[in-house]
Amino acid sequence: MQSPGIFFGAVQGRGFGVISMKVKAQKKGLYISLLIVSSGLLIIGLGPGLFNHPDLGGYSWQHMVFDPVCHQIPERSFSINGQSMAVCSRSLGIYGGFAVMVLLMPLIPRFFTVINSLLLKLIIASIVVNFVDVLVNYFSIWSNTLHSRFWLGASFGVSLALYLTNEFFKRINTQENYYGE
Amino acid sequence: MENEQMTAENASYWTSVFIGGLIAAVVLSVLGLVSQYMTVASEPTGSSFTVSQAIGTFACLLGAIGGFIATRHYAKEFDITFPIGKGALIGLMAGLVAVVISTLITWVWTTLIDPEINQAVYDWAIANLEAQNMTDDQMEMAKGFIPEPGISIVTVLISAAVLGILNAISGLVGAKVFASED
Repeated sequence: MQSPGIFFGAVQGRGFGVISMKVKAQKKGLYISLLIVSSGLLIIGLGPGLFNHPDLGGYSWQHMVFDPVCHQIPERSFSINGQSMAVCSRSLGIYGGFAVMVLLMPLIPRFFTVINSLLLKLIIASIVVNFVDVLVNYFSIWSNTLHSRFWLGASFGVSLALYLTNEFFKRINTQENYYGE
Repeated sequence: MENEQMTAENASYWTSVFIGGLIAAVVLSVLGLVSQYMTVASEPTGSSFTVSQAIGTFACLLGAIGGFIATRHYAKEFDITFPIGKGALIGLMAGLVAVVISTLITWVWTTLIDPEINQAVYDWAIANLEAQNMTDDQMEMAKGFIPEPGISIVTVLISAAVLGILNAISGLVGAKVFASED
């Protein structure tokens, strides 16, 4: 993977240089596994409505899969084809945000500089914000919505995947110098 | 330097896996049992946001805590760095250990301490299903997705797969946070 490069003009007398930006892929097997697993979790999490299965009021094999890790309350979940998803809207945000960013991982270093320390703070902040959102909603200080829960969940999933980006794809800037003949 | 590399290669991660798995198992078991008791104490058609459901909100995050704890313990105990792939493996193992220990805790509780709770949860689930005005065919199909009272092999296998995957991901992150080679 190689970008067209950034021309930076004549340097050092007669020569000129081109900074070319490459994205180096590493640990490909692990990345492919992560991509398959995260996409699989998202597809299963979308629930029986995605496969047009009959409406059984939230009882399906997809709901069984996520039963240990999500409350799956229909009123707090999105629905497809009239059937509630197998995960709540917050969990959908987490799994969806994570899966989409894992899919986009190869492109991220081409356009953004990944700063791990900042992303780690973002992860912690998103956990705290989600925690606070649940508590204040429980104590009726405010009412969150399907969409607010989804986006708060997504903030966690996205920042988690971004944090892992440069383990799999690293930006490498190389300078090639050309000298006049 | 050579010594450090030898340590990183040879250090056993099983103690860390067990500690991470044990902590996750205790958390999951306590949450699961509290949630069960709150469920049977509620009306089957209730739709308000209860404490039990608030607990469920964090189940996803807490269920994946084992991999994170195991990789932290492994890195700190031996003061080593290791690749994130190894972190994923440690997390996966911690998730599987968590399921085994959690199943044991639940089995002990529901067999020796409160043998009635499983049947009560099953009856609640059936009552909740009947309150949904389904046809008989739909009811029969839906009942197939409600685990019978007691420890179900299918449920344990599903938990192992899901918690294994989630803990493998948290192990990836844990390895990067606590044992990054960069």
